[in-house]
Amino acid sequence: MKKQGRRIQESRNGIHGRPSLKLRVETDRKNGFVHVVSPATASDIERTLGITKIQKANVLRAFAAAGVKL
Amino acid sequence: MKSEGEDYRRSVFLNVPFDQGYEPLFVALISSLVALGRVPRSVLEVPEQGDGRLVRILHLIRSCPVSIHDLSRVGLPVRFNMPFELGIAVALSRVEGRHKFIMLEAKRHRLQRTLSDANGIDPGIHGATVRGIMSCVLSHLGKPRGNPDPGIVARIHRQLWKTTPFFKRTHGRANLYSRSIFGELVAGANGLAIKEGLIVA
Repeated sequence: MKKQGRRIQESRNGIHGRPSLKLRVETDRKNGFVHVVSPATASDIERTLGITKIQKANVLRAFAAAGVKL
Repeated sequence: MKSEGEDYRRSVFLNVPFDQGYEPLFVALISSLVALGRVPRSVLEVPEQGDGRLVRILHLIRSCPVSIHDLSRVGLPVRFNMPFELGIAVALSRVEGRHKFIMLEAKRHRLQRTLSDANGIDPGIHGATVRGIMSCVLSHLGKPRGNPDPGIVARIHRQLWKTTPFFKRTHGRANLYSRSIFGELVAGANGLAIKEGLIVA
């Protein structure tokens, strides 16, 4: 099952299914704007925004205070 | 290590009203963008270095291939910031040709009256609801197939929203619109999206 899903994903340039770091597709559709790119990893997002370790520690405290388990 | 080009392609500039009533929608924008593996960018994150807010906004919009402009604040006091920044995005789109912009409104057909110059470009209608914002983001920026389940994105939003009183308290702010809180909200959304299996660490 898993193998089949993988084959489908590869046959469509990896644009479907789970986040794939191999995806390099960017599509603009004139009929309704859809902008598709590969998903960033959490590290990419944190690096781009310059999120510090202190901020990440504060986030963990915020989740603990809110009773949300990460 | 990813290239800067890839970071550029994933960045989405948020041009939204910074008022208390918009906070749930702001968190919804962050939640849904991170769930899609996009990088939310805001003028909040750029420190003032003496060159003025307008220059910061211009640089930041240019550093993002897509921008989201919420034009739903039409009451008093009159706010010109959102349409002004939309104008910058439109100019970049037309002159440089590599910028895309998404307009959002709360009410259907209202933009035809408030910004008739934009007639012919349909805004996303969110109805001033969290679900509406998520729907707009997923439909405009999501994958044609394989979008995250809206229910999961809503759960990320709910859990992230619970942290907002803590952030306000620890940063001594009355609202969410500060550089530190913005970064921590994105980091929080990151953690939740990893937990839900939407992005990888």
